[in-house]
Amino acid sequence: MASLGAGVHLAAVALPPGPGVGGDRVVFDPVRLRPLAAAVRAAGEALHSGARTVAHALAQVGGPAGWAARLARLGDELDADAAMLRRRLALAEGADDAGRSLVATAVVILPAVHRAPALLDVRPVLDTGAIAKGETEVVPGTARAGAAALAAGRPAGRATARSLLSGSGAPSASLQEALDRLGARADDPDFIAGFYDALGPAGLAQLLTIVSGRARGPMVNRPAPPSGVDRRDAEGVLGRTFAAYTRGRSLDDSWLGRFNTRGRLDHAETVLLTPLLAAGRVDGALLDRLGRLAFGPGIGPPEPGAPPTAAAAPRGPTPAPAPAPGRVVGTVLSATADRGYRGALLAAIAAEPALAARFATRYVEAVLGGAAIAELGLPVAVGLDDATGRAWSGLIAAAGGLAARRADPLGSADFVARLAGAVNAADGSALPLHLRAALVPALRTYREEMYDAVTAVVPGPVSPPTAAPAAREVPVAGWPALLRECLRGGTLAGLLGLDAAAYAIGLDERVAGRTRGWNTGAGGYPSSPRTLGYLRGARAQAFFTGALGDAADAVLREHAQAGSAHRRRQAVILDLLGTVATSIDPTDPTDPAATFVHLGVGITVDMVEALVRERYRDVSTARPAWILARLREASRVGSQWAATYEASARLLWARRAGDPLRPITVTGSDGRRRVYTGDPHADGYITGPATDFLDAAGNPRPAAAMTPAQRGAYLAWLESPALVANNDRLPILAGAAALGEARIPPDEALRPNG
Amino acid sequence: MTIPDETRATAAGALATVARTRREVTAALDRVAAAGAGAWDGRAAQLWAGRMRHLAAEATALLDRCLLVCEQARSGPSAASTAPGAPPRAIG
Repeated sequence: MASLGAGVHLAAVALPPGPGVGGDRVVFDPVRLRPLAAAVRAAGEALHSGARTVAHALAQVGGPAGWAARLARLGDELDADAAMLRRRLALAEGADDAGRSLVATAVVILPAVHRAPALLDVRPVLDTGAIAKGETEVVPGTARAGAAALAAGRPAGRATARSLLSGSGAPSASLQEALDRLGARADDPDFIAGFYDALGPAGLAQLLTIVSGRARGPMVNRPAPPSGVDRRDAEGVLGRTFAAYTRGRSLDDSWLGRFNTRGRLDHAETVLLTPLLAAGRVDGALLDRLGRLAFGPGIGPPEPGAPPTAAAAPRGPTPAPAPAPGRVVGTVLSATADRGYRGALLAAIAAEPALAARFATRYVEAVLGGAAIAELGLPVAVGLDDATGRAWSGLIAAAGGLAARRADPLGSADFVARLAGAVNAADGSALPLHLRAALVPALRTYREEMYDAVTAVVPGPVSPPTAAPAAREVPVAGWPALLRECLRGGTLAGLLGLDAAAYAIGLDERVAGRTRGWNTGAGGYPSSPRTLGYLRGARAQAFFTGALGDAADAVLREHAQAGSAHRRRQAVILDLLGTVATSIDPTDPTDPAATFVHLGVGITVDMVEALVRERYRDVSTARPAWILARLREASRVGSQWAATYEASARLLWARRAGDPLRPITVTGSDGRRRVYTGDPHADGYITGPATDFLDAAGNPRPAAAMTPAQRGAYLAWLESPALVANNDRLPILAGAAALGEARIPPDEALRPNG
Repeated sequence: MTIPDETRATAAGALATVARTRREVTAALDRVAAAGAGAWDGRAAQLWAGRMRHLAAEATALLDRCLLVCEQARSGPSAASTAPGAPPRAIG
């Protein structure tokens, strides 16, 4: 990451370019820097006193008063510079040339700030008069907190930070004191804001370096000087308070750019944040920013539905175009350094439900690709390493979870649609087990939508959507692929099976609740109005068993292929060994073939081959194959069933003149008696042109030609009690679903009590 | 038109004061320039040094203008002609 071209970005903000990457380094000479700071301060004082003198003199001769004020302002600037130099001096003395130890871990920041003062870092970090003015606007609740809190909390925090910065060389005593004070006031946002404002990003980086005991200086392997504090405690205190600070402040790229121990303005030594990420809930916008720095922009729109804090943050001059998928894979894969940091960052993002789905959406294709490459076990280090892969799996699991859906419904639906598409496109590639297991939450969170989609009588989006908009856009082919690849891992397959059964039972109960008392009147309907619900439930379970069968099929095939490949390789190796062996004759160098032929090399090869065969004999596929056959039987309720029902319903409607539909009276789930006639107008399914799915002749148009609103009304009409109860072909259809070798309807086989 | 001696004396005193101030400020800024060489290096240092040069030039120019105003006040009544928008002129 450090090779992104450090010199380019500063040049882009119209500042004189330096002599190159080497020129970016700030080298301090503390012995000389101290007199410089003193000289600047003296010059500032000279300007201030000169301004007073000049003001008096000009007043005497009637000259303009503005010049003296201008001189005073120049004096102010020099004062600020003196403060900046003193701070740098303190850092330089504490750092002991920290620049060389962390070069590989620094991240180049695109400075999104165009204001030269921020880049020049001349804002007096310790002299926080200007910052204090802004604080009342930034930290929520501060305005109401009153002057007392400001007077007590913020300056105290500032003073604590200042005591750290002024301590030179051996900060251990004051460090422990400062951490104690910080820990004692961890619930005081004013104190925390004052502390971290005064510390500044560079000061925080320095502090974290000292606390973590990182070796500094050219010999990075030498033991670091002891910081004098308990590292775990210190990181805990800093993590909790820093998390609170990030939620109150919007830490933008300019802040991150200064977060390093080298005095640079365009590098973020993000790896220093590792312990803090685990200790507290860092603000989502900052996590998003860190994620982009670590893994690149990803694929897709830059910030779909980004929170206002991120949108309001300063951006780079031009938004980078979305890179090609291959490049993103490269970005995700290049994350080999700093695994600990990346793992901690991904875990922190996963713990933030409002961010997890939106973030994971951008990288899901790259992660699937990277994981599949890693699973090939190539001898070179490509693909995701195991720890990073697991961290990504954790994020994908969190992004598909219920909490993410509640916190960000749109982002969650986007994520599931993207995930299903990516898995479907990968088409059975080798994915690691933990990634397959990570698909489980998404399948469970969206089980209603998935089974609604696959059991619908008519495919296609409907409106008003029963699910989140993007989830309905998951192509029907995407769901079985997602379920199959998940089941291939074996993890929680039983739970997913229960989901299928629960969906069928729930649907059954819903339909029964809607049609209570349908048979109390004069009977004689061709079928029960609940038949369709039963069929849809059976279809849901058949869908699941179908996916299970596909998954088992894939596993068996994989096993067979792996076995035969292994045997072939063994055979070739043994063949080669045999050839070599037969060409050697130790007794007679001139005639190699003489003795080894008699020693029976061929027999040896045969014996080894027999051993190989023996080894693979114990993996019998007979029982899995038998189970597979049973699954196939159970999943016979094919998708043709839905089309058959639709055709029969259309026929029923077309013959209504000769065979009028008999109205049916039922008690709905709201407890009201209601009569269904089968007429979509009378039954309230067609409420206007938007939902009118009939053509001029009064027959339903083809479902594919309907608008989503019309299709929704059409589906509801097809499932209405009158149309189902009057359908004389449904008993045949239901019987056909129950037919087969197993002789049992599939839903009974899979019901938990069944 | 006769310029009163009292006014001339005041202008002379102001001129001397401003001239002394100019010397002091210039010396202080020179010390900054001298101390800055080699104290730190790198791009930030270069940018800072450039800014210091600008700052010193602006301070000197301002004081020069003050000197000019005082000199004109001492030598004649045309002081009002050096209004605040006049271009800076380096003297001495």
